[in-house]
Amino acid sequence: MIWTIFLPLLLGFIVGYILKHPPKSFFFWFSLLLLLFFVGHKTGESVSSLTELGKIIGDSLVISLASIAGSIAFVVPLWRRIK
Amino acid sequence: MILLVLMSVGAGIIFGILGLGNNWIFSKGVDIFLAFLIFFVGWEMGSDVERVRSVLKKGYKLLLIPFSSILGSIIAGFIMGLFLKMGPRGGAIVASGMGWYSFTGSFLTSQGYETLGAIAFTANILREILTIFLAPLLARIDVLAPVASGGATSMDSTLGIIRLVSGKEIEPISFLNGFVITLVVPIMSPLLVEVLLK
Repeated sequence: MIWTIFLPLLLGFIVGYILKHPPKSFFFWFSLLLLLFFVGHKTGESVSSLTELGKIIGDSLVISLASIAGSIAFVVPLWRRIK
Repeated sequence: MILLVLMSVGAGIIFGILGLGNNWIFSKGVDIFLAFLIFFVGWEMGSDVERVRSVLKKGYKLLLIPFSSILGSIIAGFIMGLFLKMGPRGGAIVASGMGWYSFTGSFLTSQGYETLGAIAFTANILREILTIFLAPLLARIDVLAPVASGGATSMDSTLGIIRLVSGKEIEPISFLNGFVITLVVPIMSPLLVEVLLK
């Protein structure tokens, strides 16, 4: 976690602070698309069949809808109190 | 761009299923490019320190919005996980991604939780897509509902639709929400993994 998260974040922050301009969006997309390709590769290695992949999508849909509902249920009453 | 994202993941899944490319770069690829992505996120933040300062000046009340959003998401993920194979702990961790699919999925995969990583990736990309499609309906509940739904993406990819359905005045709050969540998720998700899974 130190090598993949905190150290790169700190190094990036220092570079940005020195240069005072954001990186070109190309770098974001280059690293993001390659990262997603390798994430997909690991996923493909771990699932034994397309049926299992379908189940992953089903579970993901349930969790994503639940997390949206959960966030709204907590934020909206709070917002109505503080606005 | 979302199409490129889906194509990239799809190509990776096909390579993985077919067992292609089992060499060093394929085993270390996630770690390497996750580090690259986080480096550029840090670079962007460091290049605009004033933005960080202005966020901190907004006051604690507005900061309650992202934190309550995270809490609501995790609790809902935990409850829903009770009914799924991943279990409540897995559900909570997946939901803690708050729409930041490139981080949560990659992080879990890099920690050896490949299946949970795949679910986290898909669930969080779906959160982004669902926010875009549901935003007009959610705005009828409250102007801040699309912001809550967007999670980490409320500062970038869903900011445009949120501005459109909730109004210009919500834009700074939407950005603040996404910004704070983006700062919190890389710390919170690994901590949840440590506490709940190890």
